This record gives sequence, C-alpha cells and structure tokens, in this order.
Amino acid sequence: MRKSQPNVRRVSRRRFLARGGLVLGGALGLRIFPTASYGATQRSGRIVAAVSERMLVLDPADHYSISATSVLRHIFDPLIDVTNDHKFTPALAESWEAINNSTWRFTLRKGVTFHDGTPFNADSVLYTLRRVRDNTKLIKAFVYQDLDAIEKDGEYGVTVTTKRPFGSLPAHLTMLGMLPPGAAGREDSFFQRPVGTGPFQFAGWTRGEVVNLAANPHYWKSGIPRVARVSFRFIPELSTRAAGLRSGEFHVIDRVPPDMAQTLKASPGVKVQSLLGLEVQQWLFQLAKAPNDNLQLRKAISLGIDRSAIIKDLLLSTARPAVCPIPPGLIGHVNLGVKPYDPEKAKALLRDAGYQGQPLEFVLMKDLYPKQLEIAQAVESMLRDVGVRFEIRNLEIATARQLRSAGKYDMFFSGWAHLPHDPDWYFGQWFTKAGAVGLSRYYNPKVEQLIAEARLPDPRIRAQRYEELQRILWTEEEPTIWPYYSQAIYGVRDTVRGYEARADYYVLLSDVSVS
Amino acid sequence: MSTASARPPAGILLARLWRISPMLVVGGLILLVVALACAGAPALTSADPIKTRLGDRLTPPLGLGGTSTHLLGTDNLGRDIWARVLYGGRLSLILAAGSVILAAASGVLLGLMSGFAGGGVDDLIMRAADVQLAFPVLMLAIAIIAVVGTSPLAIVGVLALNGWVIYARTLRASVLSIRQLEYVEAARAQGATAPRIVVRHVLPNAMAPLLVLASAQFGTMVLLESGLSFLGLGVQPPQPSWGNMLAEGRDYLSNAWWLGTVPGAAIALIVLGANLLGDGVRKVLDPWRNV
Repeated sequence: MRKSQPNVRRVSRRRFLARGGLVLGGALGLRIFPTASYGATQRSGRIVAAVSERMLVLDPADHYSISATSVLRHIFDPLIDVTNDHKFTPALAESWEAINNSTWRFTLRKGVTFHDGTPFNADSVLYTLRRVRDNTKLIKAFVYQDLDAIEKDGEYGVTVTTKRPFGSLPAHLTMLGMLPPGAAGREDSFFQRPVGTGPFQFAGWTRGEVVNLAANPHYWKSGIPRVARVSFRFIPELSTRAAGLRSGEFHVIDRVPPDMAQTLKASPGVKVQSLLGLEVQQWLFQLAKAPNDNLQLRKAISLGIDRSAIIKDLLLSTARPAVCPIPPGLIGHVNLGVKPYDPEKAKALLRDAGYQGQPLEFVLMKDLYPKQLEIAQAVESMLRDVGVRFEIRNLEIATARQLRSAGKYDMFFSGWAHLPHDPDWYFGQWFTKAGAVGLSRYYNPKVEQLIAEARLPDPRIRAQRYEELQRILWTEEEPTIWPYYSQAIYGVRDTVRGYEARADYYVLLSDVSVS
Repeated sequence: MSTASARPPAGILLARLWRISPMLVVGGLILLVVALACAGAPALTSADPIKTRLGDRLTPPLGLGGTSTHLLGTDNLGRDIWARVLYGGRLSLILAAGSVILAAASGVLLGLMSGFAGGGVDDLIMRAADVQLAFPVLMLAIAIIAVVGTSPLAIVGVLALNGWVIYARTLRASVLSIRQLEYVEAARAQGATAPRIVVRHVLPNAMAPLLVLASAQFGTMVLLESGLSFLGLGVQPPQPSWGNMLAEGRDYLSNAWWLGTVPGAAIALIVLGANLLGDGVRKVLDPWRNV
C-alpha cells in the first residue's frame, strides 16, 4: 500500500481517508448512550454538529483528518491546547520549556483521571509518545521520528530529547491526545471503545456516519462540558448540512462556502460565524519543466492574475489577499506586500520570457476547495488576456496527485491549512529538496538551511528565519503563487451559546451550551 | 423504396407525414431548429462563450431585470449564457451524433457478423454484449476516461461503447429471421455472395428498427454526454457543454436559477425532440400501419 510513503501521507491529510484503523467491528453494538449520572452540575441538552469530512478512525495518532481531530479532542486531552489566536496553553501539561535546542521538559497536571478512573501521569505520556514514535504504521509517526529519548522525570514530569532541534513539538502535541498506558498491547479493542481524560466520554459510533459522546462528570476543568450529550454527524454534501441546520436538526455546521453563507444569513434562527482561517491557497508551478522554470514567465503569470477581483466577485470577500505564505497570526507571518495586478507589465515580461504560446496545464483536484473550478476559469481567462494559455484539468483527486508526483502539470491548484498552528511542517514538506521532489521540484540550499534553522525552539530565531526565507520565495523566486488566505465559515443555530468559530477548522463544543 | 421521379413535393410529404404521425414532424422540427441554432451560433450571438467578466456576474435574463446585451443573463463568471448554450449545444450535439453513428456502425457490423456467422462468433459477440450490458455505464466511463483522458474522441468512444449493444442485438434478430426467407434463399440459389445478400437483401429489410433505435438513442446520448460533463468526465471547462453548465449552475439554484435552468431546458428539449422523432419514425415505418 501507499501507506508507507510519507509524502502521500502528508499531503492527503486534508480530506483524509484514514487508511488502516479497521475499527468497524464493534461499531454497531455501541450506539446506546451509557446511563451515566451527571453529578451535581446541571448539564442538559444535546448538541448535534454536522461536519463535512468523514471521520474513520478513533486513534488520535492514526490520522491527519480535521474532523477526527475535532471529535477526538472531546474524548482525549492533548498535553497542550492552542487558542484561536495561536497561543499555546496548558492542557494536560501545566508547563513546558526547552532546556536546550534538543530537549523539552513537560510538567504534567495532577489529579486528572481517565474515564475509567485510572489516574493520568507520566506513564501515559511515555506510552503515547513512544507508541507514535515506534509504531511507524501510525499516520502521525513520521512527525515523531525526530524524538529520541522519552523519559520519566518524576511522577508528573517528562523529558523528551530530539535528534535535531524540534521547535514545533509543542504545536504538534496539540493534535495528539494522551492515551491510558493500560491500552498497551490491546490497542485494537481499546480503539473500539476509547477511553481518555477529555470532557466527553465515548458513547458509540457508526464509522463514517456519526459519533456520540456523553459528558464526563469528573472533568478536571470545572463547569466543562456544558451539555449532557454531543453528536458529530459526518455529512459531505453541503446542501444536506445546510438544510439540517435550517430545520434545526443540526446546531453547528462547518465548511460553509461564501454563497451558502449569504443564504444562511437570510434564514431565520441561523447565524453565520466566520474568521480568517489558517489556510493559504497555493498554486504551484512545476519548476523542473519548461517553460515554468523561467522566472520571467512566472512573474508575468503572477502579474496577470487579478486577486482582488477573485476575492471580491467569486469569494464574496470571504478571503484576504496574501502578503506572505504564512497566514496572519502564526509565527513567521510578515507583511511582504500584496502581489500587484498589472496586465501591461505582464505582457512586457512575457515578451522577454520567450514564451511561445504553448498551452500550460492547470491541474485541479476535483471538488476539493470551494469554488476552485470557477476561480481556475477566471484565472485562465485573465491570463488569456495577457497572452498565456492555460488548459484546465479538473481531475479525480488521486489522479491529480499522481500527475503532481510525476511532475506532469504546469500549475497545480492546492491549498494548505497550517496545522498544527505552525509553519514548520509546511516548509519542510514543500520547500526542502526531499519534500518538494514529488511536488514542485523546488530546491534552494539557502532556503533549506533557513528551514532547518527555523526548527530551533527560540521563537525569535524562528520568526526571523521564516521572514528571511519567505522574502526569497515571495520577491525573488515566486516558485508558487499564494493568492489569498481563506476564511473558516460556520453556520450555527441561534439557540447555541458560546460557540467559537475556529481558524483551524475544528469544531469544538466543550464550552458550548444550548438553550 | 420510391424513386426520384415519383417523389411528391416537400409540402405534400410533410402534410402526409403529419397525418400519419404528428410526433415525427414536431420532434424533427425541434431537433432541426436546435441543431440549426447551434450550428449558426456565431450569427446568433456576438458574445464570447469563454470570456469571463467578473463584474457582470449573475445578471438575470432579459425581462427579469437583465438587459438585451445578455439575453439569457450571465453565469457565475459573467459569461453570456445564450452564447454558452449555443456553443455548448454544438459540442453536445456533435458528440451525441458522432457516438450514435459510431455505435450504430459498430453495432450493425457486429450484429450482421453474429447473425450470419452463427456458432462461435455469434456466441462470442453476444456474450460480449451481455458483459457490456452488465457493466454500469458510468463506472465504465469513469474507468476509461481516467485512463485515456477527456478528449472529445474519448467521450464519443465511451458513449458508443455503451450504445452498440442494442443495434447488434436487434440486427442479429432481424438477420436470423430474414435469412430464412424465400427471397434470400432464391438469391443464394442464384449464386449471390454473402456480402451481396447482406447489402442488397438483409440490410434494407432490417433498416426500419435501426432508424427507430438511432433516432431515439440520439436523445439518450445527449443525456449521457451531459451526465459525463456534469460529473466532470466530459467536456472540460472553460469549454461550455450543457452538462458542465448544469453542474456549475447547481450551486446557484437558490439565488440565480437561470444558470442551471437554461442548459437543463435545452437538454430536456433535445431529448423530447429525439423521443418524439423516434416514436414517429417507428409509426411511419411500421409495415402494419395500414392494416
């Protein structure tokens, strides 16, 4: 299977088809809610969230799916949480620090228990981290290959040494729920009915359809959760999600495209919540192939695209023109200026570039990004006006990815959500020689060096390196066009209190109540 | 088979056909008008079907708040829908006609071979037909197009592959019955070769059902081609086709209904025309009509 190829594994995380994780077995028998007593807190009500991406695994280490991250955050706590404005806050770790460039120390929270009553301590962290490092079949394992020793430092302390600097480790840990050490050796049955320390207990699921959760009455954060039950339904079809929201069947839906947002705003009982997401769109050039290897041509193409018209007319102003590859708020974001639209200059550059009018292929992964086909057609038309011919190839996702790894494209419509609130993964995959060989074929030793240095734990050094390398990408080389940052748009019933639209596209319901 | 000298003037012929089958006339006229409109697209509109104008997007049709510059309004990228329907129809109709011809030709050939040769050849062809029928059309189309890409030729090929079976089966049945008839026996007794018997005696007598099938199938092919384009397997944007216009319009049904309605109406019209024509042809060619 393709599973062993880290490349495929990484790029496919956005609409992840969780490979592995054959957890179907107990699914049907587990649909009844446990009759738990909810303690003294008066929790009532049930929230139903409908999310677009099907969740297929219950193992927090075996997916890079946004919906699975959302759901599993309710069952498991990670060591570290991340806020909507990209601040890392204590979850199961009360504090953490980089002792030196390759050592992290975590101090754990005391008095936390798993849903089955066993206490949370350093053994849980040891088991969870060693498992994801050693079991290379797990989808998240490739990130944790940099971990060296994972050692206990007292009952509530853990020291992690890394093979090379790993400044983004705290960020990655926000996506990794902590498991009880008792799961060791019986993972298969454990992940049919997972037990965590999270605000909700697993109550049952039908794989790819629905996950039911019931409040954890003993959650360590007081007052949380606020409702008795939560259900996540997985509904890829937008119109079904929207209809369910309007009829009141769903309380929260995610991934609302701009036109639907307008419709929902006009519907009674429904609110639309949105904010700038962590996602940047990127249209890759295949750099090893003529004529895209010509900088003049790439610059001409960039000048020929009217980004503000696309944002205003097609995305109905639900995006912001990019000013650098890293979205606002993340470490390394810097304003390098919006790329100008100047068709006359584009035509002049084109004459110098020696472009002969040969058609270039603009490859799209079918239905992956909202409005992508319209945007591609608008881009094609704009570029035809300046004299560059593009042919749009809207292909099945797997086919398009094959073309991309084979280098059989000229421009490729893609995007990247900067999970886990850190750009290290992005640059490591797309702009190092090893990562880009199956993508854009980008290679610049200087940039490679900067990416390596940006892995140091010191945030000031990181920000400076990212700024420097983005300057090279943005102003000198233009190996990719980054047109805009997208918004995350959610539809919410007006009976829902305290829902926060998340920049990372998660749907988090622990702090939400319903009236 | 009337000769040229005996042919009555066109008007009288039309009136006679009308009496036999008004459906044939209506269906034929619909197809004719649509085909002519599509063929004459450059004369009927000066707008570019591909040129996007984001500032003019989603203007409604004339009479519903739109202007005469865009008779049927504009789509989500500000392209003129009237122009897109006409140019898209060109492609849809050519692809459908091409695939009907290819399907009929290969189906007739295989049907003849099957009916005449019999034995192993017959078995082989008929089992191949069974396999073909057992395959879901769209799955096969997806598989083929994934391999060979979405060129117009590939689309015609996929559509024809789906269509040949009915011709082969029908023709085989006709051949089997005609082969037994006395005049074929007579021809053979006089030393006529097999190809001559096929061309002079069998084909003309098996023609009637084929015409009915072909005219009815034309509508199916338009529908199927639209289906492929709707799914993104047929004509590729920005080239318009009724199917991909429908697909793009689907997202706008609640706020700009004309995007999907116009190409949808065009498809419905063509399918209606083709079915009426098919029924009409059947009635006209029915040997028991006057009994």
